Amino acid sequence: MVGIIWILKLYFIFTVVVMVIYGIRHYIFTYNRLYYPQRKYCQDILDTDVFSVSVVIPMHNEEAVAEGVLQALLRSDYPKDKLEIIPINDFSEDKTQEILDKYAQTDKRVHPLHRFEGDRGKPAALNEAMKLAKGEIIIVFDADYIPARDLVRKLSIGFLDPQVGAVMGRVVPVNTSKNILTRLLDLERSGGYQVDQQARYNMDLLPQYGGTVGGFRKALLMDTGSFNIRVLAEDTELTYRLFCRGWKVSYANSAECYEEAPESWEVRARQIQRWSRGHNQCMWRYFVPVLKSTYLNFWEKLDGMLLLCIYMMPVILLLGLIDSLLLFFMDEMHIIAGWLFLIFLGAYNTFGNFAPFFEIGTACFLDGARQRVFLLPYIAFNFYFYMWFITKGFFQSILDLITHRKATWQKTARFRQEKGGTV
Amino acid sequence: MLIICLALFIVMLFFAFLPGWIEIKRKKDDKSMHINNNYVKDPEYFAKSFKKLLLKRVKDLRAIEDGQELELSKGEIINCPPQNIEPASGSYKHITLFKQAVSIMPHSQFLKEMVCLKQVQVGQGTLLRAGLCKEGCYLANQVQVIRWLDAKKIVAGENCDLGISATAKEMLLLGKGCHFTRLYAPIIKVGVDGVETVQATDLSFPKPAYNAFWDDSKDIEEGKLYEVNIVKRHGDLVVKPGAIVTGSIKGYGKITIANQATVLGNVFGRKDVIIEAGARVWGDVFSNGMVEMWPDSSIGQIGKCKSLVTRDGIKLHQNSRIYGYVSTDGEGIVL
Repeated sequence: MVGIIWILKLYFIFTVVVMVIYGIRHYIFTYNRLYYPQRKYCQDILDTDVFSVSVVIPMHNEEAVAEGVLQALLRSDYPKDKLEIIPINDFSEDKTQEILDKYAQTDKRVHPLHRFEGDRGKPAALNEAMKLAKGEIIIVFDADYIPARDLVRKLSIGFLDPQVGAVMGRVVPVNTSKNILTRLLDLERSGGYQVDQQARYNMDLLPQYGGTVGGFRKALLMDTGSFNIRVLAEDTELTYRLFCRGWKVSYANSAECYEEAPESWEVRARQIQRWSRGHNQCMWRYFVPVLKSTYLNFWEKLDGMLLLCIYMMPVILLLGLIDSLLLFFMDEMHIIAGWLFLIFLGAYNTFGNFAPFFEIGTACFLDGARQRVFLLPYIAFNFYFYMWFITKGFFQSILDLITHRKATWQKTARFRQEKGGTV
Repeated sequence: MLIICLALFIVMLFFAFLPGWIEIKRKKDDKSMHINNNYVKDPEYFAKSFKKLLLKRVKDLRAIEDGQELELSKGEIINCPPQNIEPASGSYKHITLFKQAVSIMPHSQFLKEMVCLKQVQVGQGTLLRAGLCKEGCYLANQVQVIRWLDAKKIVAGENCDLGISATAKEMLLLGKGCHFTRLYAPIIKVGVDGVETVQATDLSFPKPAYNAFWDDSKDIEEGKLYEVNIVKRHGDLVVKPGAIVTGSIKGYGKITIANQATVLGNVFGRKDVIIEAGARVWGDVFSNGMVEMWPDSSIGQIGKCKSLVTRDGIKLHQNSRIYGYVSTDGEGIVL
């Protein structure tokens, strides 16, 4: 019994230490974004020699949004002879195929890829599209995205830097006003991109390639083995693959693009569970390579590890909560006694818990959003909601690791009613 | 007591959510962040949009009469000074249209845009809000442009301030002490007009493979050819005199392209970049520090548009040249 109590106590301390580390991380990023010189992305470069680009859009039953993304891309200011658009019809059962064929007939830049056999899912679809793609640079958009006219140029210009293997833009929800969930997701996205990603880019750490509104060098991906179809988070996998090989991911905060945020809690739950499962698959895969990589310095490794473990945090916290309840009812909660404990508790409640809120609030400030910041306390509900589904995703990833089973890709449901692409 | 405590706890908890609840109900700030989906980068944006605004009201600018009011973004009076009288030095409060070649008297003030259909010589110390010139625009010393200037050719004297943006269809010549933020022209040059010597056909090497990298622990030696990309992760990078790098360069410390060295690709610097005398970069130069171009150095090549973009400022020395676009978030100055 004494042994169990000690394990519980040690785990409690471990949870607190982990929470403090992530709290400090949030503060460092936020302070960097607020008070330090911001690293410039190269979107201002004008160059007559541009890369040939293939824009790839995986689609599965996307009749509601397919026209929107294609219309937006066909309006792009990118030189026509250097741009190729490959919408991938991935086992669609609706009118996606007809829509894609219609656009292929009217514009030579559109080269649809229809897939009805082989492996399903985004990584497999991207692998097949890359065999067709003629561009040096592959840019990926999800089907519900509405790229601005200059977005392809902004993203592809980043590859003029010889060390950049992938470029990531910023995602902005288009349906923010829909309901409380979309409003909270808007806040999360702001914090994630405006502060978190930009700060990591500023500090030469590990900005993450997010799998959409981003691109990568085709030859680099092909030379390093294409996308792994067993990995659900092919974007995270690519991020770590690149960094561990000495390449960089560039973050373009000004390369903004609208996306459709989930409008129902059920859809969001599935999405976050999939992200957790995929991200944790990468965590198991890259934990050791990150530590061993000769290309990463100490701070990059630290950031890489913290980012890798980000979807493990809710699991640690959930277990920590259970742990603290057990200790409380066993009357064994006196881990740190006296004033020291009170000072720590006070400090953590004042600053630690507040850290992610501070990050999101700063993002709102930088975006010039003044009223939506009042919704911040409601993020706490999301936290507990995510805790459960991220934990589920975490344990699924452990099963994936043990059984080597193939994960099934689940598409995020779309909510858009109209078929056009204007906002 | 317990009930009071519980009640207080609930009230305090509720207070945290109250402002958010009010915002949910009132929906004052529930719109998606604005993205201009129609935005296209155009260095001549100011001049083009002003010209478009004018041409929306009158088909031929020569047909505008003195004192005519045009509805632009708001009602604007257009002054057309008589062609046979030299304009006096003074303050021009309205948009001013010169239909013939004109010499602006020193220390004039144009509080609105100046439009010239022919060549214009702007007198010393003149203040110009913005200028659109169909032909050459010659600025005497200490002319100050507040916003933008666009002409077929711009020649700026000493200590001019070129405002937010100066663009020329053919050439932009900068005098000593000029300040600038954004410049755009096929040839941007410091000092005197002359025959261009940088030809695109001077050097011809195949572009190295994307993954052909130089071992950054080794130095770049003088006068040698490097058919690779170079990424210098630690410390400063010096491309020694006369060396030729056919790929692109990235450096986390200071980058120096030494005398007569050539980089055929792009130069990306996290810190300052120095392009020494006679050195050439054929691609773009981008820096999160400052860039200094020494005499006779060049960026880009004739017939192509390449860029020099920096965060912390640009210093240009005599006879340095850029073929295309220059932009800095800091201060640009000619030494």
